[in-house]
Amino acid sequence: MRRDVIEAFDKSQAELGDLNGVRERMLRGGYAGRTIRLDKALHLAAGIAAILIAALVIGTFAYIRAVARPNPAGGFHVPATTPLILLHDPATVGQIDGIAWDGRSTRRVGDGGVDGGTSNPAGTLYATGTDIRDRTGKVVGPLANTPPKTARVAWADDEIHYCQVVPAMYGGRGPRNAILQLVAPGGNASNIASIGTYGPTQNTPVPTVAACSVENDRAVVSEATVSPGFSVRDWVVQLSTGRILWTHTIKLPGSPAGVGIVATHDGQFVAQSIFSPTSANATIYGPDGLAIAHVAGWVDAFSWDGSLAVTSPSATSPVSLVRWQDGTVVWTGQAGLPFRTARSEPGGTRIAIGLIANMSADPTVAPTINLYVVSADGRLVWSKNNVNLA
Amino acid sequence: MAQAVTAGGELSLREQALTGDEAAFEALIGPLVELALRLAHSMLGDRWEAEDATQEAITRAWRKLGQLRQGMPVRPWFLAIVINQCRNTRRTRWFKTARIAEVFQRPRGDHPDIERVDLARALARLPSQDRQALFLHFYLDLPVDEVAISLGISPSAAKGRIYRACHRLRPDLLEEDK
Repeated sequence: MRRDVIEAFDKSQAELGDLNGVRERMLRGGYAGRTIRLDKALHLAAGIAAILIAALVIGTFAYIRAVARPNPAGGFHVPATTPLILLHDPATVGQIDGIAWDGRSTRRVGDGGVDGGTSNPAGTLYATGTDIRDRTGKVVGPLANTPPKTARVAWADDEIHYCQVVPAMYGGRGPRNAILQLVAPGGNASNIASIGTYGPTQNTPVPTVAACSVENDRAVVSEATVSPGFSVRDWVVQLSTGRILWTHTIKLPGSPAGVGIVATHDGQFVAQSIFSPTSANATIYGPDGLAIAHVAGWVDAFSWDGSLAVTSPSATSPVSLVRWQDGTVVWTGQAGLPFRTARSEPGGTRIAIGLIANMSADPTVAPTINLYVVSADGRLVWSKNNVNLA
Repeated sequence: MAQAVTAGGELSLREQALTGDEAAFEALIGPLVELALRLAHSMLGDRWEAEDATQEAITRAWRKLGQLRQGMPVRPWFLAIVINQCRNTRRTRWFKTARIAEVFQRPRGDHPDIERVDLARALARLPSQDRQALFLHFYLDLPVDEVAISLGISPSAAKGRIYRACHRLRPDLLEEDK
């Protein structure tokens, strides 16, 4: 019976003929299909993705709202969706506290902040050294595919996903292709595109994510290389397809003191700053990769809507908040306090600027930061000294 | 023809493939491509349709690699993707129209070996799910538990389908086999 059935199937399979080379052809076609199929279905996929993302965001917020519970450690009660700026507790560095954008403080958000604390824009999720946690302290998921060098979590503007760059393959000594991934905490990492090179040692640079925008379907990745010659490359990548929307490489004469890439949360504007011993200047690129403005000084950060840039004109001059399209300076920081970090209010107009008040001689000790929350018109809304931002 | 590759046994390959390593993915899926193509051909009856479906299944496998859990055998997992892709193809309006027309145009009764023609016709008349179970078990030589995973059913249901298909084909030969 078995033999008869096999013979019958054999006869029907005869049409397939010689299958030499079919395996390689199929695999090549399968790889190509990864992008081609998406290109073909781009409009449909974009529509479906928008609906799914909206449903996901609404569902997540509804879920978080449903499970919100009063903070047992005291402080004011924060609804689970209220954006917070997260910082390390001054007494216990592993404890994460929060400050609302109106300046009210919570005493405790969660633990696990010793090796991390990097939060999403609204401060509803944060990364520890090994996992992602929410504001109730619950572990939402592990950090995905943590490579030998800890991948930096670059949170997306949907408050759920994050981007990271990992090596194409573990092990080995030589440089490898770097892979941009989009990760949902507790879910799988999706490979988006092969971008740049992952250096072979701890000290060699790796591509970094300057922006990860699920809402605008793009990420900004940059890479600085020092050999041969000093150059900086930026890529703006479509997250849904892995397609490179634009890229450019700038080769720099000599060896600048520093090069920095920052981008707006949606990846629409990218600032490339170059700092030499004598000056600093930045070029801002628009959504299509064309240079649209030059800024005197180093661009440290953008406001949420991208209209304002935090700039450091030089190493010794005070930090400024600048409306970069017309050069208007709307706020100036205290002289002698260099820039450390900034947070832009998600969906809002305020920006929190952290300036270094005191740098410890011990490089393992985080500097003390004075935090200034400034409105779009340059008004100082509130400030808090001696904080340690997560 | 049959190869036993599991996610547990090839954990590093799977992990490497997950990070985008095409060579690792090829090592994992490559040996299964011919099986997949034969399976797709048995379901779709056309080489080019089968190649399209297999190629699409490879693309889907790449995207769904993260769903392949540790310890899960790769072969039935991938063949399940192939089967789903073939089902999707068969649902298209073009396929329904073209294939039905072709089946009615196929010459009948011109084969010298009447018994084998009868068996081939009997196979063609089987419900597609039963025919798939037979093809996986007899032709691709998959054990019943892998047939079950490929078809998304329980092992006892898979065994039942194979037995039922055999019984429908040749109840008399089934008796002889015992």
